[in-house]
Amino acid sequence: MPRIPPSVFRQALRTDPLLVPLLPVTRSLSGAQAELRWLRKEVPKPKLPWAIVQRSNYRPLQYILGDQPFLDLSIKCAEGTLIPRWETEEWIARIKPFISNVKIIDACTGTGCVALSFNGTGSNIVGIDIDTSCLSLAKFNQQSNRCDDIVHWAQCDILNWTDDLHHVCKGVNFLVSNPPYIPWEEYTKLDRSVKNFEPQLALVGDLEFYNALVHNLLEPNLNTCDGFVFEVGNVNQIHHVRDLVKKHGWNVGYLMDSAGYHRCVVGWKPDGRFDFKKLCDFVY
Amino acid sequence: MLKLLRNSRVPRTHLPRCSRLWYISRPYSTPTASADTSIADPRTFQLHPSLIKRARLLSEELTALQEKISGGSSFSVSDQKRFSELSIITDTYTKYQDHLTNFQELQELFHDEQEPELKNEAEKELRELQPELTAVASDLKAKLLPPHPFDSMACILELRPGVGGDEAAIFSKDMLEMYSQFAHVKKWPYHIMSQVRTENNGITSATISIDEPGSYKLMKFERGIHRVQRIPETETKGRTHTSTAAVVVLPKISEDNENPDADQREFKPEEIRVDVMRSRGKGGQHVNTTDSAVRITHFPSGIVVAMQDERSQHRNKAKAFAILRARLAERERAEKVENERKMRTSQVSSTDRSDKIRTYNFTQNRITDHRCGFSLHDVGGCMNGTRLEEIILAVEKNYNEERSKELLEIEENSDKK
Ligand SMILES: C[S@@+](CC[C@H](N)C(=O)[O-])C[C@H]1O[C@@H](n2cnc3c(N)ncnc32)[C@H](O)[C@@H]1O
Repeated sequence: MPRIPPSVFRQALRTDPLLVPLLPVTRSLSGAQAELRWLRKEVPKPKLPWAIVQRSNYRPLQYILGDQPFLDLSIKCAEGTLIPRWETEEWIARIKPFISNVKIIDACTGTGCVALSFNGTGSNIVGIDIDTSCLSLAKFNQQSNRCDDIVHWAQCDILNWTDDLHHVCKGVNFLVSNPPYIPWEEYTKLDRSVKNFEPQLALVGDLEFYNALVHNLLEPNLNTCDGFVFEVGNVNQIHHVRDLVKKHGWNVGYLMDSAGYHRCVVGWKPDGRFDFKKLCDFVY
Repeated sequence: MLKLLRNSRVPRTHLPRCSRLWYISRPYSTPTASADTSIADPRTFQLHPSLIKRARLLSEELTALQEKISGGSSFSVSDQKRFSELSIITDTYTKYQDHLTNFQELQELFHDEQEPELKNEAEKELRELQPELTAVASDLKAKLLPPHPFDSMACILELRPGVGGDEAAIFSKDMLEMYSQFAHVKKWPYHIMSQVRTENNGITSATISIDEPGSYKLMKFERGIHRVQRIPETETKGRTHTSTAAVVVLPKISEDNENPDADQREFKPEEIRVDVMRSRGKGGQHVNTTDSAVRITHFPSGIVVAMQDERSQHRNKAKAFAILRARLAERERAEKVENERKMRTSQVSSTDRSDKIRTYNFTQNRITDHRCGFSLHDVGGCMNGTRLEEIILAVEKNYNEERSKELLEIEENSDKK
């Protein structure tokens, strides 16, 4: 990582000494200023020094402040559950107008942010996670955000096909997931604030999750399910999913995010209720 | 009317012959119209015939609408709105006419040599009526002028320091505070959309959204260069510095909490580019950055909006789009005004020119608005939001005068043709 020039440190010191410990974490003066502003706004004054020390030790700001805005929701964040990312927020905002009155499965729900974002579409939503602590956080978020649509939570391991999983997913019309997608080799090189603070269970994974999503969740429900969106970490994962659903005659495309990365693989049944063609940045 | 003129002491030869004379008398600025001096000539309160004509047309429209309702035909929401607009104007017009007739009759009594015992009584009543008539005449005038297209909207104010370095940045911050306080005093909802602080507690830019529908009507007069003359706290030799801050006032076209994707779809893809901070690595689960800055570039206009205040990138994008749309609307309006102006040869009113509009002289505890010459001798009262409205209302009155003058010129020109 490039060193931060001493001049920037000096400028930070002159502007506000509290910026200095934040600089190595945010790596830019404007970033440090933004974080200090949010900390000052949301942390009670006596706790501010503690919060700054925490942050200077690379603890994610969202864990210190305890929440993250996500579309019009405020999502509670806690150690042990992945912090929602803006990339996820972005693709959900794009897909939401296409969805109304369907049964939605959100596999690997974490804080529940994806599932809860579809509140207001008149849908029946089920969030699945393997981790019970994630599910209780998701339930909390459902209540604190007053999500009135029918939302249920289920504890299942999507990698194993069980009766439970079968039962939960029955009749699904739209399948979404942001599964762990960071291959192990990449995981070891991640930033400290991700690697040391966010749960490995939520991050490390690769094609096995996409296999599970297609074989265990989509294929048993091909007659009711008309579309899916899976977040991905690289273009290889997109190709993999495309090849898996090709034999069912599904249309496949992908979404890019605003930072220019491949972000989602999108599939839809040719004569189904969703026409995601207009949504995709590229259609195969 | 004719009866009055005959009895009035004013010799007929002095009566207005050309309509231009109607404008020499300005109810607001004429000193004779204030309560403690002599009784004003009733002509002072007469409106230009084109405004009277407009008032008549509007009351005819109201009658037609009333017939429509009593006839039982359907009454749409826009009809309802129009109905209440028209009723308000017509009520003011009626009140104005009543007051004016009253005033004229009292004046007759006042000058009636045959009944000297009534003179005192008439004078007393005239003095009471005069300020009321002044107010209602100027109110009516304002209502009859065609409304500004954005007057019913909420607004966004953008502040930026001009000349004067640190002191300008600090003054800009004071102005931001003034507008926040003003909104607070008016009980208008507002929120600061963004601000970039400097090292010395100033700002390099700030955006405040005043979310009250119709706030644009008053706030639009804040647009322009504001000049401050004071001794900065950092100044050791006690010298007065002059610095400036620029204010831009935009109509709030869309809410900044709406879905920015819907906003984005309203533009052609090649017209617009949305940039976000590209984080290290591959994004997504790989990083949990808090860097949520967004920048939107609108190519046809060259407008660039950057927003980084919110923790959610989605919210930053929504705010940036709200500002972009407000700037585009304002630009379109300014161009239209400019074109209309080019078509006329007349002198333009000073209100729309963007030179120094106001001076805040702290040393003399005085704020002077250069558009109307109004001075308030209470800098603190203005800066804490409680007395800013007095200045704005003075500017508004002046603006309405100028606009009716323009209206007259337009009509005279079209008469000539
Ligand atoms: C990348 S996080 C996504 C969280 C949330 N949906 C979001 O977008 O912020 C992945 C989630 O998958 C869960 N998970 C990991 N392995 C799983 C499995 N085998 N079955 C079900 N959920 C699993 C983790 O507990 C974690 O909450």
